[in-house]
Amino acid sequence: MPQGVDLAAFIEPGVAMLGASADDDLVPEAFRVFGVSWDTDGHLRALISSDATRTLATVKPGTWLCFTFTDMALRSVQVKGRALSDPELPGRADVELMRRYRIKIIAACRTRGLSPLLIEAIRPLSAFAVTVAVEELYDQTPGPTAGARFGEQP
Amino acid sequence: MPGCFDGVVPPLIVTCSVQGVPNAANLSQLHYVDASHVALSNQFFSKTTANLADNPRASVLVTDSQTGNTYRLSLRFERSETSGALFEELRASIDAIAAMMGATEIFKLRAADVYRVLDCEHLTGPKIEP
Repeated sequence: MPQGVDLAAFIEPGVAMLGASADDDLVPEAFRVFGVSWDTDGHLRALISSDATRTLATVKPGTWLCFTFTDMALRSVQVKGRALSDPELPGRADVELMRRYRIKIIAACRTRGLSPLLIEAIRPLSAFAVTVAVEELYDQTPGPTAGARFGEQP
Repeated sequence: MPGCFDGVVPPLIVTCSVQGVPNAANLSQLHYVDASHVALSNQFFSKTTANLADNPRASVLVTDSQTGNTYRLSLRFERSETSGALFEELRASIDAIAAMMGATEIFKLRAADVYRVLDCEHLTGPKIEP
């Protein structure tokens, strides 16, 4: 994984998770993510809302995806990487991850005065999993450094 | 869907390079222009702008802060406006957000980017009673 930011520590307290892919015609599709985890090799496994039907249909090994993680202070990190496999059905551990993520993001939203009902409304009804090898990390916090790559001199 | 345009839940815009690499950027606010167009405030979008120069397609995820309904807009970039009524409207809105955040020197509007809405998907989730 690229150096420059402790992504796991940043995500741990509960952050908003969104992502995107693009099909072979370069048409992008934004989607909601409801939990991520890391395997022993440091690959990121994202649980993507099943309404991302174009992503589900087109992601294959080597497809680029991006993910943004934004905390309640609007600090934001963007991750880019390539899929290691086709999309997968969620397993028991993924379902448990979604349950834990729901608790964390509701708690985080309360600190910003947002209702837990909002989280219930945006919670995906189902999800699929995509595992990516993270290759690039960017500071996505709004401001003059937005888009700067972590680990590189400006 | 007025709650989609209040900026309470920051929308996300995604573009794609010609190499097939998607790029996401947080938005301050989505602006309604007319029944087939929206405008986005271009503040820090260097990568977004570069991608749109080669590939005008974009995808925006926006959540209605009042209902929780989420929509995915499929967009085609049409033009950037750096003056005129729309630009001034967006600038006033950005200035207000910047003042609230104490970041008036950081939030500067570069352009009002206008997009045609090609499609609007209502993404379903668990229903909540009002």
